Amino acid sequence: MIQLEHVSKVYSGTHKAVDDCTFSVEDGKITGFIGPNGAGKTTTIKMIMGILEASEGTILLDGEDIRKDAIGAKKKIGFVSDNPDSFLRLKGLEYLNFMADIYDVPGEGRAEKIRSMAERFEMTDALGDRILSYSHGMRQKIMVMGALLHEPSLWILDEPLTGLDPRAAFELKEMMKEHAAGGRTVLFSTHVLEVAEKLCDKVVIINRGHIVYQGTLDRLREGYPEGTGLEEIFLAVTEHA
Amino acid sequence: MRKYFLLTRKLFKSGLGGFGGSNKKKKFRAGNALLMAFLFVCLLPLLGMLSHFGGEAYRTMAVIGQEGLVLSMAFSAASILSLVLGFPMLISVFYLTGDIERLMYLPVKPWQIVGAKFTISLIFTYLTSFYFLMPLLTGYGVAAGAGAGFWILAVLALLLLPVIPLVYGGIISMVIMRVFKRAKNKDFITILSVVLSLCLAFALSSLGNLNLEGAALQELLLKGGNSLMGLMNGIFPALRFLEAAVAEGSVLSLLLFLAVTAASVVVFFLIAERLYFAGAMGMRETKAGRKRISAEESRRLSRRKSAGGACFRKEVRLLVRSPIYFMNCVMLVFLWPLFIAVPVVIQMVQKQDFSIGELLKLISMEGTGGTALTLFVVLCISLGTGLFNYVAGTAISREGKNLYFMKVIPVPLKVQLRAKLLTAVYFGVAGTTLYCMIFLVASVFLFGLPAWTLPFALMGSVCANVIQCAIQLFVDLFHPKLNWENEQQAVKQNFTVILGMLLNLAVGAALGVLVFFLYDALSLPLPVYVGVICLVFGVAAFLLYRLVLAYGARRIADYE
Repeated sequence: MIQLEHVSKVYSGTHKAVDDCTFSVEDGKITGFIGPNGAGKTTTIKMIMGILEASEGTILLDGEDIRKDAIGAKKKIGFVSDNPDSFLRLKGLEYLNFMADIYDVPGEGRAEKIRSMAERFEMTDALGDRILSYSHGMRQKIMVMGALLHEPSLWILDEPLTGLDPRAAFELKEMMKEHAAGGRTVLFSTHVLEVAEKLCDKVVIINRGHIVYQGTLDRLREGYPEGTGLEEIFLAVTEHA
Repeated sequence: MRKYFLLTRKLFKSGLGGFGGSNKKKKFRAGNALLMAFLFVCLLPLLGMLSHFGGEAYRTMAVIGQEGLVLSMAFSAASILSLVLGFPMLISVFYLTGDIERLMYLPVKPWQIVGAKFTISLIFTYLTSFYFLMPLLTGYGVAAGAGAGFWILAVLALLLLPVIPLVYGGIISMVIMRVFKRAKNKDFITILSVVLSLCLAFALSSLGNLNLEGAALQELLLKGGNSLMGLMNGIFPALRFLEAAVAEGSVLSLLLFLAVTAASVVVFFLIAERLYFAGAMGMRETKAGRKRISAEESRRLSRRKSAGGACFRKEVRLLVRSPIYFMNCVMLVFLWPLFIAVPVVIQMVQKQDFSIGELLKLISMEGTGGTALTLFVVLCISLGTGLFNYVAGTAISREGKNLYFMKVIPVPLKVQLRAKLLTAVYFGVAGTTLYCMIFLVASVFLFGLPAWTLPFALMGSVCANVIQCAIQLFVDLFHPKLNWENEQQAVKQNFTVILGMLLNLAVGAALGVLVFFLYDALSLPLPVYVGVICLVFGVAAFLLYRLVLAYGARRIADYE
């Protein structure tokens, strides 16, 4: 479970990128983090990940404050960045083993785990090649695999579906559902409202640094005339914030 | 021509990283200005030394009417320097920056792209050639009491000199890239061909040096009237005209040099028209085998390693496999013996009576003086070669926008920084200590060097490497270049690397001088003195190591 309590982030002493955000991401649910460009999504995710320090407020990961035990808290997280162009000159298998070593995945059974994931993502024949030779979608897949090797209780994804082919996107969504079904936490940011609509148990909408809505999409719809599209609702919510 | 100028202007604005990079006007920052001022102050003593050398060399050689030899040596050295430093830069700028894909669909000719890239590479080469030649020529000119004509010709020489070495580099790079276009592992081929080409260029330039017999040389020497000028030119025969122009004020010679230079550029562009696109097309593509990995390799890679060990392996792999990183950060550390060994081998081949054994026997290894000198040389090699080890000096800058990854993973920052530092030390030790130890072990058996020197030499050399890598890492932590579009910008347009190198130069020179003079001042038996020095180096290395890790962890934690 991820809990943010009155979290703010101030840049240069004056600019408040995130302002007094309080929300929670529950276990066993997929939570979509939605907002227009520059709303504060990435800043919030970076604070959850420990990349940025919150100016105010508290962030708890499974009840642990990331500032008090950063290493312990980070071990709980699997993170998939929006930019998969990293470690391009490592082979796919080298990257996965690097991530496994970093996250203390035991050597025993590791090869089988990698093989099973690779089969699922149709990456078996690509693991011996350098990531540089991969397409964007394949790079995204290898990053997802690297993030899940240590079976994290919290899975955070930043725009994860960009560039994935339909099959890989389907597999990723299935994996997110399975992760949540196992009682673990999934938080992902997206611009694609249809994906949020089909996948999320809950959405958190952020605009200009403020949380403007959190709850189910069904409850969000209740305040609008029947037949109103999600896009229109989203625009209305973010405009009136 | 208009398109050539347009491309050149655009490339100049976005830097060596290629077209399409950030074009924003940079804000003036007091910190950057201070850094540049500090860099300039650091460079002043070296500029003074070079200028002094130019003046002294003129006065010495003018007595026998051979002052032109000073120019000959300076121009030859500057040409080799331009070729050695310019060639890896040209390969990177021509083929590895990745902008070629954005340029291929524009209605421009290959020579216009190559011309723009060549012009910018030339401007960057001026930074080093000016730095080397300008003080030498100033010292020379002042000592000669030269008039306005000399100074005008000297400025023209500065501008023209690097063109031909870069034309050589450009042509070689285009031929290599065309020949190996279909190679599976282009990164490896690029690195290998750069190393081999540099060896070849250096061998060829050494081959042409002073290949006269003693008597003929003596005759030329006594003849006076700059008769020795031109003998050092090797693979740059046209330099003869430039030397005559500057030494004798010959406008005709200058025009001849200008004509040869212009002709070389035209030939270069003609070759570019034929070869450039053919080599550059698909350069960024990496062929994939798509072969199922063997169970054995899978098991081998899946063996569990410590987090620090995993970070270390990752650093080494990325450095060795990225041509730009390897050529700019690692390669020179390993190539230095080339600059010593090649001329010696060439001399041995040219003159049958030359014997390296005889030369080394001149230094009596069994005497204390010879042993002390050998150990001092090992120290100087370790400190001097460390100046070209930019692994630690770019360790943070190489992360670029991915620096966040260091903060995401559950590995303490100190452990990650230790992996970075040890990677730099690993390459430093492999490029200096290893060579030195091979030489020392051979000296123990062949020339009677006392065996007790070996552990001390090993410890001193390793500590010297740790000290220099820690200083470089400290500087990069202090002012990393994180905002870059491609690898070239991270390592080549990074002035903090030069700052780190200069700091190391100052520290290295200070340590060298201190070790040298304390030997006389303390009058300790050599083994005791060497032990004390090793202890001092060990303590300094340990303290710097602890300091840089503590500072680095705080610094990275504060990055936002």
